[in-house]
Amino acid sequence: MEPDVVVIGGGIMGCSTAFFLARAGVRVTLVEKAEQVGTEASGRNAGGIRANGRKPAEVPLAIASIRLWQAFNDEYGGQFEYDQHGQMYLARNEEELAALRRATPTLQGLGLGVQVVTGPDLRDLAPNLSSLVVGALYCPTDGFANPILATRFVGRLAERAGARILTGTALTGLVKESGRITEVVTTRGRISTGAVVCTAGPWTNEIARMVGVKLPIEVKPNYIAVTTPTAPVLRQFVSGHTVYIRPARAGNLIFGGGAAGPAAGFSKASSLATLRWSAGRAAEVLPAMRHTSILRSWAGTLAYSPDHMIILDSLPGVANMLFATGCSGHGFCLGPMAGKLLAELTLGLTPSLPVDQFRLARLGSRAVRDAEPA
Amino acid sequence: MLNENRRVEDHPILGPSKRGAPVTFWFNGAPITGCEGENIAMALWASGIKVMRSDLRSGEPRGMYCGIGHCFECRVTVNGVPDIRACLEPVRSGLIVSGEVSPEEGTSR
Repeated sequence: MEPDVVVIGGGIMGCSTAFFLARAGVRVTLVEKAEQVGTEASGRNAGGIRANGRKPAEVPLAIASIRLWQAFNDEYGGQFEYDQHGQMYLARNEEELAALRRATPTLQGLGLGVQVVTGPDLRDLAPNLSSLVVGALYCPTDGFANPILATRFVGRLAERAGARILTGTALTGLVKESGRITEVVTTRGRISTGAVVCTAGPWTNEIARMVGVKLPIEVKPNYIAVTTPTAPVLRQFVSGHTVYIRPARAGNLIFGGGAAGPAAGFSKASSLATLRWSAGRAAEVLPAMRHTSILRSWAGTLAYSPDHMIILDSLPGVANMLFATGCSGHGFCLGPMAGKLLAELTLGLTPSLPVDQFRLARLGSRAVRDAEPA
Repeated sequence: MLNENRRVEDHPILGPSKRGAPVTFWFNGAPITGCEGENIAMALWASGIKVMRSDLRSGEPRGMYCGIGHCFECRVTVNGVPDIRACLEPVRSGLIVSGEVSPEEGTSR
């Protein structure tokens, strides 16, 4: 049977889109190039589910997505190691602390229960941070999950709701007639469809180019590593000193960030120099890390937009194709709500949150350039 | 006593095992006879020792799993250096190898 909607890309956003569409009774088929869902950025990130410190325009989306994560965990019984242990932006000096204080009222006004903590309050929350840290912007409702388990869980939810997930199925073309996509061409055949939602992250560029649209998405890797397990030394997700660290349920520490400006592109090759540098920075924040070894490191591929905020819109010049990409490293957290909004927009419903601030138009001249000849 | 049946003679990826003369090394204080140049995990297996450490949280036994250096499950301390993969590190005479094994697990399993 022909689907009403084809979703391209089985990351957290695509699985969520498929779930919300299927739950609304829509016949939806998700195509994913890999043999499983969540093998790219959605399974290769640090698992942050957090709203702290995001741009004001993005905070409501993050808060709404965190509510969906809570629902996946509580109401749907998800087993994906979701811990709402809080997130801290660290300040190393009075200047950084002042910046965090300035950001606080706006975040609080958006409904986020953040506060600046210093001195004994900070040490109570995170006693093992080094003296490098003089204060933090603390958001207790933020947290983290195991992104591989979480994405697969949402994929299973979508299937249980009636979505068809075709793994090992890569998109190779889009057939456009009279301004509409009528068929999706894949490595395993053609699929006629009524509408398309593209949630292909950094691969969105080449998919948009199939219908003559060039998007302003920059593709960059992020590097992450995991240490051997240790006695509990950290409870929260901490970000600062150009790195981030968070605990895993098994007692390991997951850390990343660090080196400025990794080479653009799809390469996932790790660099020992990068790893050494970010490990050194992380250990300056959390000295207990010096007693661990690094078990392994990996990279994921992220899509950055010009203003580092999600782009969620219909594809210019195509009447029945929506897309969202450019989450700039925040996509794992935002995936569920972005998927819900994409589902609502596909169904012609009023979206649960205003989406205008996420559309291409906000970028002005940086939004869309003419496509290069194929 | 060496148990020949517990040694990998010819690994499909790693090739034929590299075994030199019998030497003695130490695992958790006990003398172990292995062959110079073979990996520590193989020598321990040949001596009937499969548990190389215990999981920090659960206390469950851990030992060689992938056997090719990828999974880090068989990590042990060698001459004071922690987190050495027993499946990759060659046996040498007098090596002092230790793994944190819960007492209730024993050394042989």
